[in-house]
Amino acid sequence: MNSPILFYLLAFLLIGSSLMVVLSKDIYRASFWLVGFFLFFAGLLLTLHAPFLALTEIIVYSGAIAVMIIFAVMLTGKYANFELSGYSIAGVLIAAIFIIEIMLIIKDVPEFKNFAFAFASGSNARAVGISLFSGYLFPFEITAILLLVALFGAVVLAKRRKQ
Amino acid sequence: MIIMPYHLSDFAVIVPELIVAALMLILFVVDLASKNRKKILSSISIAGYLAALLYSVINFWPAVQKFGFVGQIFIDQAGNFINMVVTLTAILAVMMSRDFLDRENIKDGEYYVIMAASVISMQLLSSTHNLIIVFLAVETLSISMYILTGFFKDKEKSPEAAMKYFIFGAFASAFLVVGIALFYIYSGSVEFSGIAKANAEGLLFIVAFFMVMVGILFKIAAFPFHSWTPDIYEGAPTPVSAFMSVAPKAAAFILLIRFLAIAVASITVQWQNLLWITAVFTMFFGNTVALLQKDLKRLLGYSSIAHAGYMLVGVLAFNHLGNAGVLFYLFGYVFTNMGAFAVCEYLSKKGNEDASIKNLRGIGYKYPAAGVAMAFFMLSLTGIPPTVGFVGKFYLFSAAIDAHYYWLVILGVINSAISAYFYLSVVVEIYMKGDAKESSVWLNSLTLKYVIAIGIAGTLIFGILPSLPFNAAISAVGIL
Repeated sequence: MNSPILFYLLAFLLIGSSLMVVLSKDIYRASFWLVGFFLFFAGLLLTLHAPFLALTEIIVYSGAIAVMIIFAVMLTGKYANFELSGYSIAGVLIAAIFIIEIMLIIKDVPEFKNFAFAFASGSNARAVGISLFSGYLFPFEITAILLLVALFGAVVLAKRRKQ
Repeated sequence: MIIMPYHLSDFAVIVPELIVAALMLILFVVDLASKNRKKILSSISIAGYLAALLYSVINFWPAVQKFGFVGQIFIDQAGNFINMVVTLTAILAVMMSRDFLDRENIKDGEYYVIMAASVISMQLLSSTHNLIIVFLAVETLSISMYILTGFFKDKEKSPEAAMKYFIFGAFASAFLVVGIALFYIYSGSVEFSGIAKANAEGLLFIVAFFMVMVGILFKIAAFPFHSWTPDIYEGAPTPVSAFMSVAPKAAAFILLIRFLAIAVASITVQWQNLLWITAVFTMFFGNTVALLQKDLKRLLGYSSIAHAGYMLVGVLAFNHLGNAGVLFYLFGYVFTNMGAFAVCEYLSKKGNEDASIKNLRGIGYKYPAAGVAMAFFMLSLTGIPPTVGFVGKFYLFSAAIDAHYYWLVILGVINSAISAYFYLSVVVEIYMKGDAKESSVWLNSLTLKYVIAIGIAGTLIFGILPSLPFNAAISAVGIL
């Protein structure tokens, strides 16, 4: 997976699909392009030797978040009017500012260059797993309370009262 | 082979959290088992919080920091102090909820379960130097608060407030987590001590600092991240507003003090400049906008913004007296603010929650006890002796004078003078001749009356004899 051709191919597809997310007028199409974007991004992470991040990307983003957007559109489609338009000049401006900012940070902050090498040190899924269940077991347990509360909240807020 | 780095002795460090976690699970099971007797849940809650409170009181001394779970969490006097404040607030909030939920026809027992979860998160927040635990605790706290805010499902305002809070809170959490990630990239550590070792000159360090501060200042409701407060206090059930105005702030303030004193100690001058502006704007915003309020709960919302501003003055002083002053202020604020909200709840009508100040007209003659209590709490919020509000402000401002922040103290005193106008106008309304337009049925609840009585007792006793909690606070801020 060290071939730069694969990297550039995926990067090209990534930019293309993200442009399609922004440019498509229909929210259904936009959300499916978003799924494509997440998948290509996962591929890009794989070429950068980050399999754990890549899998997280697929499970969390294209698996859960994109599906959630589609569900939201499906359930509210009758009532809401989704018109994707306008703001193009502002969008281009914000994107330009953001890109310049990121380039400045990468150029000026040496830590980012060191950070890129951290990926290249082999199987990080195993490393993440081991540290999650040894040194970071306590924070991991706290997430149990967090998820329990979120679950209760979803039930309480969504439950209809009997009339 | 994975070697477990934990021992059984690590659990001694998280006993208060474990007590409340057990309480949470018991509440959940009892809620399932008991169909219609929800009052038993409030009794169990009070017993559980009381146990956690007593544990902190008994184990307050000696002044050491005991670490556990590879240093990710510890127990110390400051943590114990905040644990007392939080559990005390929770007890009073549960007492306020007991008959209120009945009257408003809220039958979901999850109310008490979620409140217990929020208490755990605040206990964690007040006893860690680890930004990962900070983030998880802040998220748990925020999510529980969103849900509690939206518990009035019948009313339009309550779910709307929950939604607003959720959107604002999600932004603040995003800032916090990006800030933590940047700190990790820059210094290779999520521990305060590791961050402190990093070179603070870098651009990334400053950006990370700002982003983490956004997350913390949002929880404190300081300027410019205050705008959610009044709407949420107005929309939420009154006991939840009361709980929210005291307990999360206590946890966030001790976190702020620890973060500023340890993690970013190398840029003390810069953060002091930043906080100076924040404190002044927070005080002025809270007090001047409160002048325009017609609704009692909104007024208390703006007043809580202003009080966060006073406490920021103590943080800014950055000395023992200032930090201890903040802890003492929080302690006094429990009695005063919970009391004020309790009177507000006592005088509210079923369903029609919006307690307009005009509706208070003449209640000083009709309900002498409630009138006197409200007047007393308003005096304490203004900061007039012999109340705990006065003593708290005195400590905060004298700490600022010790640190040579003369202008800040002058601005703070001007703000107290402004605040006297709207607090005392409530008192004037209470003792105005004549009746309110709408005759009202008061919430007749024994536990609610106890809350008002505890509020008065605490405000008065610690206003005259502040030395016991203040000495505890002074000792607590010795080790942060």
